[in-house]
Amino acid sequence: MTDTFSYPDVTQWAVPFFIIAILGELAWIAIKGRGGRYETRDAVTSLIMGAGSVASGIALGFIAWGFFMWLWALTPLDLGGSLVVIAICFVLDDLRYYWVHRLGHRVRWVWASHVNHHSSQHYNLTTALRQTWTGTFSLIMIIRAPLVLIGFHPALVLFVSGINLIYQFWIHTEAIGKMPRWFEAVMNTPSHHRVHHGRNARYLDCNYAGVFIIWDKMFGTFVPEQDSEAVDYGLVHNLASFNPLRVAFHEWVGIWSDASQSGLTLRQRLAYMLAPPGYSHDGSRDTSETLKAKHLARHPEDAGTPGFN
Amino acid sequence: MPVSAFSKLASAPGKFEFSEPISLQKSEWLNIPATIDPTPPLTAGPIGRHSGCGGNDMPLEILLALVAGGISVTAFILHMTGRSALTVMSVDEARSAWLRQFPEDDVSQILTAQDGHAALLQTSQGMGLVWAFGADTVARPLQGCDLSDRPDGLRVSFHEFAAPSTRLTLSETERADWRLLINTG
Repeated sequence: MTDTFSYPDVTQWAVPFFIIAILGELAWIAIKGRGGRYETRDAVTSLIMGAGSVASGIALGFIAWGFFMWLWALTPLDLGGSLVVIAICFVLDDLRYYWVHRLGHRVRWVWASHVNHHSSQHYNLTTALRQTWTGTFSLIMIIRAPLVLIGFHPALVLFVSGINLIYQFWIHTEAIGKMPRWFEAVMNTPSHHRVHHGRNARYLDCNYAGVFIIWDKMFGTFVPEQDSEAVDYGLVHNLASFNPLRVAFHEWVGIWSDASQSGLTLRQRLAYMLAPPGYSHDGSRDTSETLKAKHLARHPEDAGTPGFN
Repeated sequence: MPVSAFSKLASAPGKFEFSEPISLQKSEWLNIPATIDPTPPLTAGPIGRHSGCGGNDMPLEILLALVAGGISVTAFILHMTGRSALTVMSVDEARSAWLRQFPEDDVSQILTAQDGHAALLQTSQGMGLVWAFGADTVARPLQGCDLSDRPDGLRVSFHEFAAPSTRLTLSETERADWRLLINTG
């Protein structure tokens, strides 16, 4: 017996759940008087960014889809759609997410797309929806190519990516402290992801995981949340605008203004696009490495502690 | 499992179907026409419209209503529960807000606005401004900024895409003092 099978757009169907969960978190905070903060304009900006991300996908998604279907036409492999294959695809896609996310923090061109997700000084469920409008421009879709080429259908790859994205929604909260130890050991959790959103020198460039925190532990980028150092959310240089257009495009504008300066070599112009965020040709800015080094110069007692290894 | 089970080459054109268990036939019902679906997927999530299967998406009008309603309801509740208020800073809080952004600076003098929503700081790197940004704060050096008078204070323009300008509510006396300090600082 065979049944017609297709993958639902899980992120669309999750929208009612997102709304209910946000209102639930807000009620929890109001009743308990703890577990996070909300601010009207910050939350509205995050929600508009989420809506804009969906709109951007509708408008530009055909580019990625066309690329994946072109790859699918090239590959002779077809792994099918059994539950085992779906599970394997989910795990491999999460590994793909780890590296895409890591690149998103270490390559300015990709950071320009991802930075808006980190631009809130709050950390609540609306922050999860503060998603990019410019993912297509980052060309990071290329990292999905191996999955398609080894025989996972593009629709399956996008399906598991949607599940991955939905998983990451609930970890954007301060209302949950720590999960059971076994869960914290394997899965990405609110605690691990709070660290990822920190602008503290200790917490920069770590915990890139989507669903499984094991990738960070495997590749040496895991930093546990420290009871002694609360997470300070936001960017190293926080935005001073709630305007979604500025949130969405500020880093792209920054790349253009930096790379188009007069008197730069081609290498320097490329570095403004591809080097880690904070690069400057004259050393006038800080990268996460120099921020950590300067922190250690002020606080040598932190040397060797998590985030400063 | 034989290699041929993973190969598209052995399969015939057909729509994307699903069955159990894994078998050689699976590659047949998983054979997807290698054409580009004219309906684009969302980049934020997956889509299942290949092979003409397009009935699993939420109707657009419902999606739009949910999004618009969700944003409106959330904004209304937040505003009505007092979560639109600007933060108010003491001198110590203004100092902390500056050092949070510029931890290497020495802050020698701080002047807070009467409403507590902004503060001028004399630092080792020059004059700086901290101001309320919703429930939080932002900070910027004042070198190169432009000032313009407003009926209720000053507008400070920073010539920065991510921090275009801010409006400071100041009394007339404060406005004159702040203008002088910024221009001579």
